[in-house]
Amino acid sequence: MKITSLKISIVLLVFAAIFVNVMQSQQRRITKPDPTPIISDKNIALSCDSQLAHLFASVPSLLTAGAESSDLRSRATPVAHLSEPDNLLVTRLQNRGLAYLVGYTCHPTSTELKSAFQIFKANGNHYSAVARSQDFSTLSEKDADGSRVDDASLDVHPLPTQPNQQTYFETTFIQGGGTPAEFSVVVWSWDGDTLHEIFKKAFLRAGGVQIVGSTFAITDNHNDGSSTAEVYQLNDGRVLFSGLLNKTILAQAEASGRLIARNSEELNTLGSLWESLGEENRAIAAYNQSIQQDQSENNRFIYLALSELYEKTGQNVAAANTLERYKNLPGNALTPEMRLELEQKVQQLTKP
Amino acid sequence: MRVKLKSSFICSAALFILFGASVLSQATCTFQNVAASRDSSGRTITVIPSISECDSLSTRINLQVFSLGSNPFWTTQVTYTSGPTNILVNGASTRLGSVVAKTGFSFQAQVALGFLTYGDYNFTTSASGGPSTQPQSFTIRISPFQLQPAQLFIATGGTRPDLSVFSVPTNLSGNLTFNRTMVSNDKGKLPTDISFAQSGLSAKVTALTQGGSGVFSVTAKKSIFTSSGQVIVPPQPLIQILIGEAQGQSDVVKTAVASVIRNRTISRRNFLEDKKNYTDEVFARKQFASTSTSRFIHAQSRQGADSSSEYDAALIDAGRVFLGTGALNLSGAIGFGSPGAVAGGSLEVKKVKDALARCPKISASDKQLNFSGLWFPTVDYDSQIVIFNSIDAGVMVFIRERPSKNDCAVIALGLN
Repeated sequence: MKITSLKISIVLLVFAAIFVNVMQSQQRRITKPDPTPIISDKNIALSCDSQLAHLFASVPSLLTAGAESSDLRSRATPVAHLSEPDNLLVTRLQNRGLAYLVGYTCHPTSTELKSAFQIFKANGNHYSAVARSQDFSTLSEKDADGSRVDDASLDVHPLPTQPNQQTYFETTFIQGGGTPAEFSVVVWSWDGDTLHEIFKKAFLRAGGVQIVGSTFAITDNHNDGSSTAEVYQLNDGRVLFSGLLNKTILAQAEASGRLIARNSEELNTLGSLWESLGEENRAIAAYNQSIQQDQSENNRFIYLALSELYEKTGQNVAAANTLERYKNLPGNALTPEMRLELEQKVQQLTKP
Repeated sequence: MRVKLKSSFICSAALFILFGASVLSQATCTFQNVAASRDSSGRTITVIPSISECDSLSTRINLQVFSLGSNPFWTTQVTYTSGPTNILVNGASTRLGSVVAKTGFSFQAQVALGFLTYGDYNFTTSASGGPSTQPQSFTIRISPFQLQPAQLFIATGGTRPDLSVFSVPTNLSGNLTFNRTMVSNDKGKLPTDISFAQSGLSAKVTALTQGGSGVFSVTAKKSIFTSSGQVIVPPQPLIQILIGEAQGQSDVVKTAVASVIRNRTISRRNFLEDKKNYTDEVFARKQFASTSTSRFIHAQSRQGADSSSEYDAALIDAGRVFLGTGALNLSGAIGFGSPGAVAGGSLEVKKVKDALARCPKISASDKQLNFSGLWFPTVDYDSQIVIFNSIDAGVMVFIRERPSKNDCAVIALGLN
């Protein structure tokens, strides 16, 4: 009798252990990214595969136009697959120790192609974008009438390296065809070999994503005309929701070191975020830093934003000086009308 | 001699009534002339007609009074007995109770009556001298006959009840009928017909074919009176796209969006549309992202629309563009975008303004200008942004083909 009850107890203990193990396993799945690749070579839909081959036929011209290496086509390895809604595939091409990512989309159920490429170049653990599909007319799909049909675009934004040394980046896939466009946001981790999707927000419209450091705000305009801006932060390999965009959240992100702009583009974004929250002086500071970092033609429009903010905050002299700087930027051939308009504006701002 | 004279009076009276010159008045009247006669016995007074109706104040009624008796002291007179205001007799203001015409030795009198306000004007013809005579009354009724409003914009998906009704407020007699003729369905995919549900002096207009369109001439008729109006039924998808793309925006912006669709219907370019009509342009592949939104789909009917006031405004804006009279040319713009509407839009607007200031001689879709794909439409032609003075660049900019390689990527133009 005692032996029998002992056996039953052992059996129950074994079952309990299995149950606890299973539960822990489930818990791990919830809290940690799935380590297995999302897609392998084998399970790419065939129709997409054939389209892939077609696209890679254009790779040599792409390479001569900007990227390096010779024939990457044969070495293309799809490493991730985003199923819905855009069926985005991210492919890694390797050559001479350099790595490239090529994202593209296709509809497995139709012949319609929505290609969007972003090509990265690896530099150690840091991957920077070097080319977009829009740069290469040979990658543009056209219909019989010559109209371009691959009207999607893919923007890629590298995120700060996390303590686990993995590389993270965010992709904004913009669904072409109309404006304001639909878009989806995905955050990926890449261990140098395998790509994992760790965060996704899809079916967004008419908003956008603004990234500064490891903080990003996703704005989604709803059908009823309302708009929400949600703040997320990349923290230890996970993307966590911080709350709706407001001054406190941004200030907390700043204090925690997750809102540190790493280049002029992020400084512009930071300024834009502060400006949208009515923090003009913080926006002015960010825009000024941006101008200091990047005085190229690409950043010229920031002078206009800065001048407007100065004027808004009653700093008319600073506003006038900023417009003067804008007017006299090297290579800034303003139209005579605009030059006159700016001069009048400067006079107006400096009038006692 | 006397007989001849009497005969000629009778003949002239008859001719006067039958062939009264309508050129004397702009109004339509059942009778332009009234003849009041006292017969040769002096005992009977006849007025033809007893009532004359006119549809406008620009009425001139010719009143001729006869006394056909042989005695020149047997006279006939017409008195203005009741009416809303003074009247004009040969141009002179005449009060109630006044004699407006009287025969004398010439046996006849003629005056022109004019009226200053709508209403029923009553007159009495009476005799003086000779045998006693029963006075006879007659009425001049001046009442408008005008379709109100002159234009109705009707949607196959439903129209605000009070905006779908023609009315003809009038006191004129006769049966009221409504008729319609389709005038055009220019760039409409599917024609529709309209029906009238009449109730008293008004009629509710309904478009019959879902998604159909058309421009109709409508005639309301009562007795000899007619009034014309117009019914415009724009294609429902055109209404929907204004809600999808420009809900909450001004009528100018909505009209501009509709005008872009119109420009596409007449453009030589291929916008992946099936045919060059409004409906196919709206649903053309990859052209207007809002066609997949719930607010676009809900606007298939007024009842389901997210905002009935926006739907009502979009119906009228779409209708005017469909009719053609309200369409804006927009310098031939065939696309649009809202740089200020995306996240970080204030900086996108600055990029546009910077390009406007510098006049870069490249296509606006060139990546060098760095406009976000979230608002700049995908175009496969040499594009140019056009900022119209009446439309804030932060709200909406328009895109057209760049006229030549020497033109700027962004230019500002007047709306017209």
